[in-house]
Parts: sequence; structure tokens; C-alpha cells
Amino acid sequence: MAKILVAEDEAHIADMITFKLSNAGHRVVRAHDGEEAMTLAGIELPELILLDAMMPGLSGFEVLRRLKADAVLRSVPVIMVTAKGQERDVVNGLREGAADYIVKPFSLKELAARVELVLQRGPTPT
Amino acid sequence: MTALWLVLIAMAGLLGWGTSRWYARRALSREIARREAAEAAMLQLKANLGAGASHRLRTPLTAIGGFIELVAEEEAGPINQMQREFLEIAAENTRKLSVVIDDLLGTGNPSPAEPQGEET
Repeated sequence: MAKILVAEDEAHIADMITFKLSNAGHRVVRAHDGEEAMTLAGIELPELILLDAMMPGLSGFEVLRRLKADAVLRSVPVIMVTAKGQERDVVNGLREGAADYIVKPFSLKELAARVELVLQRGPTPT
Repeated sequence: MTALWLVLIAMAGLLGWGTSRWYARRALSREIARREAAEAAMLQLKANLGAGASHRLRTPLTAIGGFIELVAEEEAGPINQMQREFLEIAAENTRKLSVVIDDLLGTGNPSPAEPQGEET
């Protein structure tokens, strides 16, 4: 069981991810925008962050940059969630330290498999 | 004396012609730069609209497909055979809709699971 921060502004997407990951035995903490994601990451110190790329205000990519610039949070692995057509941005995200990414529409089985894989790898080397 | 006047008139004509040509070339260069900038702005706008439309269309599609999957996998409780078949039909049509969106937005790129070329 791991503590996972899900940063997603679309409530239904966050609901289904939460349901799936909770069924898999994980504890899910939810953030509704980028600012809240940064705040909760600092308070909760999750073992993994699922980060939506397109959120109002602070985008997922900006959150990723800030996480990777933070001495404490930079080792928390991040999976970016994005829509097709943004692959170029995601490649940049991977270069900036994202552990993986998943493209909408995605299957929950695939998402769960990627989550387990990233958790098995453990914290991102700094 | 007449010859001198003729030479002066010819020189003035040449100077005028050269100046007007220089102005015309400068105007043409500015017009080319303006059109290039407008074209670049249009491409950027198109890319932004594509990314926005992609996000707005795929987000509800992800929710539909995700909840269908949760019910079909019996993560929300047991279902009967007929319900399973109906959910499979719904899931199949969700996948078809995803392909239509790919075609419309021109975003039928390979998913991360599929091989991809190196970014340039």
C-alpha cells in the first residue's frame, strides 16, 4: 500500500482513479489544481504523484518543474496524465524528471499497471 | 549647356528610380516579414486550439471508458452476462469515438506503449 497524490481538476476522472487505486489497496490524496498539488505534496509527502498536465492556474508541467526544484520533493516519482496531441510537451516533461506518462483516454488497468511499476522502482534518484 | 542639363536631368531620373526601387524592396521585405509572422501566429493558434480541443474531448471520453471498465471488471459489484455484453458494446463504441477524434484532430499518434520515433 502506498500513499498516492492524484492532482486532477476533472472530478469524475479523479473519482474513477481514486476508486481504482483504493481498490488496489492504496491511500489516495486528491488535489484539484496545481497550487493545491504543491501544498499537499509538501504536507503529505506521497510516494507517487499522478499529475494532470492541463489544470487551471498552475499547469501540471509547471508543478513538475517546481517539484523537481524542491530538495525534499524531487525524489517523489511523478506520472503525467495528458491528452493526445500533447506528446511533445510530455517528452519535455520526461526530460524534466517525470517517471512516466499516460495518455487520455487511458484504460484503468494500464494506469494501475504503470502505477505499480513506478512504485516498484521506488523514489526517483536525485 | 543643353548637354549639361540633359545629363543633370538623366542623373535626377536615375536617382529617383533608384530611390523608388529601394523603397519598393523595403516595403516588400516588410510585407514578407509581416506575412511570416502572421503565418507563425496562425500555426501557434491552431496548435493551441488542437491541444485544448483534444483535452476537452478526451477528458469526458476517459471518464466514460473508465467507469464502463470499473463496472465491467466488477470492481463496483457483480454484474450478469447481459450487462457484461452491453458494457462491451459501450466500450467498443467509446474506442470508435476515440478513433474518430484522432481523425478529426489529426492526433492519431502512437501511444506510449507503441514504438515512437526520436523527437527532433
